[in-house]
Amino acid sequence: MILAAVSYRIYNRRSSSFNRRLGSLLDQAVTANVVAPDQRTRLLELARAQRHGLALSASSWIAVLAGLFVVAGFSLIIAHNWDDIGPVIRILAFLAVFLFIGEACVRTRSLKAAFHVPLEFLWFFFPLLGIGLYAQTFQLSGDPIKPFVVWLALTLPMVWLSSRIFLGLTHTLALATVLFTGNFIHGLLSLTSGDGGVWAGTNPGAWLLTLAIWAALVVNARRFLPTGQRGLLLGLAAVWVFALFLASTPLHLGDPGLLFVAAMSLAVLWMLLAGFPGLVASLGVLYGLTFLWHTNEFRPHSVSTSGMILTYGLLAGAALLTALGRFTVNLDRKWELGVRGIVLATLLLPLAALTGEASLLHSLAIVANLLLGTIAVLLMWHGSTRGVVWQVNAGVALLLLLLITRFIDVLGDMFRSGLGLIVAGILLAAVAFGVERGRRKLLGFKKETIS
Amino acid sequence: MKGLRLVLLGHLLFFGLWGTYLLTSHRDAEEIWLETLPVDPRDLLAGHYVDLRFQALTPQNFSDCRTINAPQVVYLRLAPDGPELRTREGPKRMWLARECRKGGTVPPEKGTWVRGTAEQKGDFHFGIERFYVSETSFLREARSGEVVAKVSVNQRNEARILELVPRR
Repeated sequence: MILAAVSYRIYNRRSSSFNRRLGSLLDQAVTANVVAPDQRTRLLELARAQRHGLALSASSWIAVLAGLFVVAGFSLIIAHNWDDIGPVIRILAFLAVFLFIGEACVRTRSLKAAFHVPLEFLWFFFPLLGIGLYAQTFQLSGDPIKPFVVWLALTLPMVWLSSRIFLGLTHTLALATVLFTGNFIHGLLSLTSGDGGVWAGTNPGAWLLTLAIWAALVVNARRFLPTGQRGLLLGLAAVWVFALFLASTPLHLGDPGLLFVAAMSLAVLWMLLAGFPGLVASLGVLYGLTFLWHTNEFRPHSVSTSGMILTYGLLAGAALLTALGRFTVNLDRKWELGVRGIVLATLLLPLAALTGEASLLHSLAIVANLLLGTIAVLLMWHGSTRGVVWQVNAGVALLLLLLITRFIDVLGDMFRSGLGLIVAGILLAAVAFGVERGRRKLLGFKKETIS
Repeated sequence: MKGLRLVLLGHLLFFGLWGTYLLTSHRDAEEIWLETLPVDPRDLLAGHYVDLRFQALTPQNFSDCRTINAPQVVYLRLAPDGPELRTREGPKRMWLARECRKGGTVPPEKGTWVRGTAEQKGDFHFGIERFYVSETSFLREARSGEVVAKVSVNQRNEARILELVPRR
């Protein structure tokens, strides 16, 4: 009932204010002699006839509250006598309520969205409730992921038949959660290795099921995600592959250097294929590389051959796409060459971490800082000359992040004394002031260019 | 409309058939008794339950099941060879594992065999590791050695926990 009421309000939240605004507009129209008073009355009647009963009155809210009390009372009685209710009664009651909800959902589909939406959500979660009920009634235990996989498989056709984007996105989110949980704990979806180095790869069921979930995710994304947001699925895939590298799976990479290579390759691929979120991820990995200044050595542990082959495959793919692929943003020839060069340098930089030697790691961190600074300047430059505000802001934000991080890195010791804190604060404020002034200047330049 | 009704029918059929199976699968099943170690009362989405460990169900004690290379089915043969314990339902002989077989081969008719699955982490599940209790049940606080488990094993070698019985 509450869900219905809330949904009712959400779906029709504009109705009451619409009536008020319409009445006010018509009053003004009558005053200005645009419409006659009787026309005003008839127009308002027509509007009310089309939107009758859209707002919940006080009595309706009392009715909702009364219904809530009755439902709470029934729930309490059932809860108190739960142990005395036999399995047959439980199953029959569950099936009857399920039938009622499903049929009500089907009947209200094209008529009353305010009731259909909460009913559809109830139906969506009801199989999971049923699995829990059966498990409790018959003391079933075992695989913790299986009930969720069964629930998502059962509700898949219902979600695809529904036109509600929100339901589709809920299902997609649940699929992704089950995939990320199931692949890395024990159970029918587990891809993790055993303690003795034995892995679930010998059980093709887990891989097949994982593949099926990915297929469902792709279909869901095509159906429910707006075209511009589909890159998120690619990001999800990149994070998933990286999680396989990190966890104890057949693709495990125990070498931090290789992990950096893999992370950068995945992030650059994401950026080249999907744009902005991938750019953020690539810059994030590059930013991570700047912290290698504090590392003295890498000690690689076990590295799986399949993981290594896949990592170098991803690196080669990303490099090829960087060199030959088409960019999603329009750039002139000179800029395009420059961007390709910067991306290639960023992509190949983590290879220096493979040696694991302190001197190389420190040099790599310095180059990563320089690259980040260059990218920030290029973003500001390009943004200001082409009038792209977000590029200027992104460049400034990146530069500021870099400056603050290195500021804390270099002058971190000053934070230990009161005077040091004051000096550090003033210096930081000066940096922020300088960067902000620069940003305003660049944006001002942009306006001049446009005018 | 038609598609949604078909989906609804499918859902109802699934739960109807599953419910019927669960109601009938353990009729006339053999009852066995197992010593249990209740641990960790949990309160997750599933409700209140007690996690159970069974010392008697340790396939690793048998050479056949010591090395498990992949998730697979295992069968344990149980026999009433354990100690006799006094319970609220009278003295009961506890059952112990006597033999283990791995792989999909169905065990011989003779003896009481319980079907389980071996996970890649070296865990074994027999479907009786969880016992749902009401919020106020004393079983939520049960400690090792205080209760024994009454378990039924059907013709398909599936085990289902019937109740936890306090020891005297």
